[in-house]
Amino acid sequence: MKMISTKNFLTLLVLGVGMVLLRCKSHESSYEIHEFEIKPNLANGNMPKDGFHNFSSGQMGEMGSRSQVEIKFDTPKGWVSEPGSGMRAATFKIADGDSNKEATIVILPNANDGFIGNISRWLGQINIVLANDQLSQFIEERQKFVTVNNADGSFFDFTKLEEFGRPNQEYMLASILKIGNKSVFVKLTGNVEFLSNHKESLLTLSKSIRFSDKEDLNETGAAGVAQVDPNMQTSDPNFNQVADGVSELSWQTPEGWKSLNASGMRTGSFEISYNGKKADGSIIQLPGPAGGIENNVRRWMEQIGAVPMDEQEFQKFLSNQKKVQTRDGYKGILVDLTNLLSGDLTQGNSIVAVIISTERETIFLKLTGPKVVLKQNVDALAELSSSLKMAS
Amino acid sequence: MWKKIKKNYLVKQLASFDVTIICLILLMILTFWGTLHQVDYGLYDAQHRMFNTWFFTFLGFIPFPGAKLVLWVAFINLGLATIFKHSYQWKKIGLLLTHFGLLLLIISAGFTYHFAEESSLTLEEGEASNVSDDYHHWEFAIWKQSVRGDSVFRDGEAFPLNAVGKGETLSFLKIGLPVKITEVYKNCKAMTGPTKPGMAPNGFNINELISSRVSTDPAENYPGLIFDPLTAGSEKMIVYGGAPTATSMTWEGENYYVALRRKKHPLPVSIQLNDFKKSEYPGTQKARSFESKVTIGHQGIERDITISMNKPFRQDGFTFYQASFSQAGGQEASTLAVVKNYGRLLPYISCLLVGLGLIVHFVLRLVAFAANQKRSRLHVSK
Repeated sequence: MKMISTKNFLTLLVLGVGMVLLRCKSHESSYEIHEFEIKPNLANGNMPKDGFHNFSSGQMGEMGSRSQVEIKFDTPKGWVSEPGSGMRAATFKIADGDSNKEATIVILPNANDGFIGNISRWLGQINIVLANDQLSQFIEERQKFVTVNNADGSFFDFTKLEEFGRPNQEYMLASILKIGNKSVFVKLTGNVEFLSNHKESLLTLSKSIRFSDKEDLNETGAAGVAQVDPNMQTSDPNFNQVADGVSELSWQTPEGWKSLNASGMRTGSFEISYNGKKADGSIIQLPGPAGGIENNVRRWMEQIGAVPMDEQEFQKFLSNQKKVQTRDGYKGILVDLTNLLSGDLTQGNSIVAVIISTERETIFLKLTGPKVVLKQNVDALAELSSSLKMAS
Repeated sequence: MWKKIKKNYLVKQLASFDVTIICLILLMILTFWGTLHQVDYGLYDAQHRMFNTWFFTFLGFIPFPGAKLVLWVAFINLGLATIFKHSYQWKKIGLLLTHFGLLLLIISAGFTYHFAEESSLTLEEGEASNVSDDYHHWEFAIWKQSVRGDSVFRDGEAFPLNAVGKGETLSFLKIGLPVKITEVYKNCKAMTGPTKPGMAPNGFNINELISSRVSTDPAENYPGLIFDPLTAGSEKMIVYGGAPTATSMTWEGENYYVALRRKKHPLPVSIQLNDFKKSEYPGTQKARSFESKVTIGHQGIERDITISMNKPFRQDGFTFYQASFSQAGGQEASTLAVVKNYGRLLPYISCLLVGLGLIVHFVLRLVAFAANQKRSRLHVSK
């Protein structure tokens, strides 16, 4: 063995390995994607239960048969209409000082005509929480109207809720129309002054909306035209609609709760009183995972203005929540938000809810109202969930 | 020249046995410390704070060498000792083999650190895929997809998120779409609400991203991007890592999907989960074993195999381990850990070399000892 050659070899080996290990990372650039997946559950129209998947809300529409329905409307003066995309049938640009605001028309097929679900969701979007009686009063005070083709419509002016909002916050004007088997939602968001300037325009636009079906032929004036896919479904948990495929439920109403007639999205409705204060109780069934536990709980936290949690805190919070089980063995989670720190926006209101997921649907048992009432009724809500039974 | 180098003070110090001992003690401390650290901070933080680093500080300001530095010093120490201090004689071949084995072990650690990729693949029963998800890295992807029956095919282009910076213009060359990155958030919260002027609507009504503290555990971070497709009349778009769906967009009459998603790793095979089975210890809900019956598609040939806890599947440098499962909502899903490591065999080879070297050295010493004994006995008898 020649000493020098061995050492040469070993030196080169050490240096070579060192250089490889110390290699500079080349600048990362783009790369191509060629992926293949089999998703039998999605082909059945179901949304995945968890994890990331790669379907947009439009995907379901592509997989079903498409038939286009035209919607017509009269664009208010000063507004610029643009073709819609996704869930939108139309978008309108409205000049507001140096910036543009947007009004939208969204159409959902077979959407439920109840107001509570939609109004509650919109209240969440503008960070206002109302007690049950306040919500009922707001809905009662809506402005009813008929469209040019005699369809019924309701107009909601959220600026009336200024006493519940923050200074300079944004509010909303919205109309809900029921035309045939479709629900049409018209919305505009802005500050109080802007909305008061455009209130009449939005109402006029709402009244002018009609479809190009044979019963909707009485055109007036220059009309805008947009197209909407009636098969479009949405993955947005805020846009969940009651659909076929949920079970018939039976339950035992807890002592002291008053059962009300269920309407809209609700399967059950309750009024809960304590010390002269009232809370609202509801049972809502939605097909599929309905956005999942985490998305719904996060949304509720936002609605009550809870101090944001990081992911670790959130998971810890969820894991500390009580577990419940229905009479037929389905497991659920009781989420109690009454102990969370929340801002002044809540007006002392909060949410306690049970989420039960089954193979085909998600059931929400939800109490909304003053914290003091909710805290007294957490056990009663657990009892209600234990008494639930699904007809097979 | 060799003699000069050998006599160099630095070389002598670096090749000294003292350095070896210090390195071994430091590695022992780091291993013990890291084991305790990961209990509270997780494996990833322990790896990055104490092992994949040159230095770290404790108690706020006291520096301590990381395993990366210690291993480099140990590698140089062992290499220099092997070259300059070892006497190359046949009777020392065992020690030489042992030194080579140890050097190879450190090399394999470096190789794995730089080149190995770890990801995961979660499939519900009936699902199949030819890509796995990275644990920590994200990508900004745009693709076009086609659906045939249950099968979804995606073709497009992606940029790794760590190569995307605010104000940069990226060109998706395959589809000819330039986009300008307006904002990049490493971790953020997505706020929902009415679409803001100049922004395109997205399926989840996300209208704002708010920056959050970046967690040391990358699994807890959800990045976000706001970008402007540089096309006439286009609106800015928001993509959020925590969104469960991609957003659709139209470009030159074609429908595309855009998302910020965990980086996808192409696999050499397609894997379809046919059945997942879990058995429990009697009277408990503790898993005793779980296995996935899968169909592997490779170069046009399909075969059924079973991947279980101690029986991974290997193909073309990739190893698929049974890692986890889910039975939520009555739907069974299996998670496979996917490790791509072409240097997988290096630690085995190095251990074999070390073992072989020690055996050879022991046998040679034994033979020498026996010969000495024999000589001593002869000497005494004379």
